[in-house]
Amino acid sequence: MNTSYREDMAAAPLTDRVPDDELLTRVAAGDAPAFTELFRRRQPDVFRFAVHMTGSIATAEDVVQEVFLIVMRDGARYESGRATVASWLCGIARNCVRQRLDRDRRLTSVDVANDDCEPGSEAGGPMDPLAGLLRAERIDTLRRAVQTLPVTYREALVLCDLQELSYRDAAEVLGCPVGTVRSRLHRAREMLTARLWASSRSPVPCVMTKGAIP
Amino acid sequence: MSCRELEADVVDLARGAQMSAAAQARLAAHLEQCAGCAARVARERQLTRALKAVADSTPASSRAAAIEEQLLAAFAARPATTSLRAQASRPIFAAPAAWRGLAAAAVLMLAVAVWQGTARWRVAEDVRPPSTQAAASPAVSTPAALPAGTPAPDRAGAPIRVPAERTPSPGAPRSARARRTPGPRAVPATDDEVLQFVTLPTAIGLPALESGRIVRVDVPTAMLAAYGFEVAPDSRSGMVEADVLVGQDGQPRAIRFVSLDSDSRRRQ
Repeated sequence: MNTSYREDMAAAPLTDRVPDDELLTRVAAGDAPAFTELFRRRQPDVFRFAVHMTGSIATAEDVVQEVFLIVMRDGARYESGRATVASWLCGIARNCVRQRLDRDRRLTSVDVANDDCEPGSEAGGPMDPLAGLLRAERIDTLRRAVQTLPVTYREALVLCDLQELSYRDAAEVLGCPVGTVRSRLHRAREMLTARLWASSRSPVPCVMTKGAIP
Repeated sequence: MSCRELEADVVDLARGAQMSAAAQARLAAHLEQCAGCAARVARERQLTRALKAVADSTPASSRAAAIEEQLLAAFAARPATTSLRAQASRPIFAAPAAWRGLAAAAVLMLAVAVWQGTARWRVAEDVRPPSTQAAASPAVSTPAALPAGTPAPDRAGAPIRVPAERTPSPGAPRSARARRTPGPRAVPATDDEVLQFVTLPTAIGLPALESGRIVRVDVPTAMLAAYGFEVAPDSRSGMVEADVLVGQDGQPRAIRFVSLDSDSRRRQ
């Protein structure tokens, strides 16, 4: 299905040279092709952010829908000098995700792993959970561990390390100073490493969420 | 370079931050002498690679095309309808009755405050677009993101109607059904009436509704008359259930009153 969608995209009129902010201006003026182009160009970013934050593909798709409904209604409110369109969309997605996480908080299994676990000093050693992280099952473990981070830290890690936004763009999305993004990212990675260590030492996986990414 | 200096920048280093030649030389010299810092940098680099692998293996949305189609349908329908904000910008109460709406809004605001203190409100319902079931429907709608008058699903999939001009007035009193009232009830309403959202006067001038929640609240029946509803005199001591659409800023935007019929239907 992905392939056919990409083929459809290839067959669509190309407007790649039109900058995102120009597309957004056209969307605000009621230009449907501009909306289509913007959706096809930026939907993957929004989806990835949402899926990393929620751990659920269905929820991420809902968030995508919600974000672009807001775009079609409030596209004119975008300020081009303040942030990139991608960052602006991530900011909207962030609000949508936070609302859903707040609503579903009661249902989410919260990781109680000890964040103070010491990672040890032997990098790459036989007991190092990071050593085999590039294997598929370890990637899934890491993905689940990301979803157990507190939202504030998860956002920083997803934006900077998974979405590969610059600190400045991440700061725009999060509405905080660049230094705060750096410190949150630093702390998020510490917590992630600690949880992976705790998980590797526990007979019961410490990283459990209700998210379901196949 | 000291261990403390390295610790402050280790994440940036592991993520491939640009360094001057001089800084690189200082880093290399320190890592040669400090096994702990060398291991620390190695771990962070492993984590960076692993996170990159997570990012690269993220599945794509299989419903992107369907979502695009639904959004385009909504986009095409957009000019033909009006938004809640547009409703709020219109004068919705006749001047002689304006005080009634304002009084009712004040009551509702008070109810919000009381609830925040006493947790009297019940489970909130996020206003959001249709989720996975939307694939079967060409229409995409939500009170929070789509113009008024467009059907939107509630928790059970039944449409929530947000009317463009359903405004109570003294000349055309509405009905509401009292609940939790041992005595006689207020005049029953039809489902159509009960499920209509009515814009609150206090929503005028508020920022555009970006998202919201629908929250169930009990409103004293006696206050309904101030809102233009017909209430039997012997029902004024009871409470009536209502759904309040609360925006992203926590401010109530619209209200609908709930009948027993619609409530029971929702539970089905």
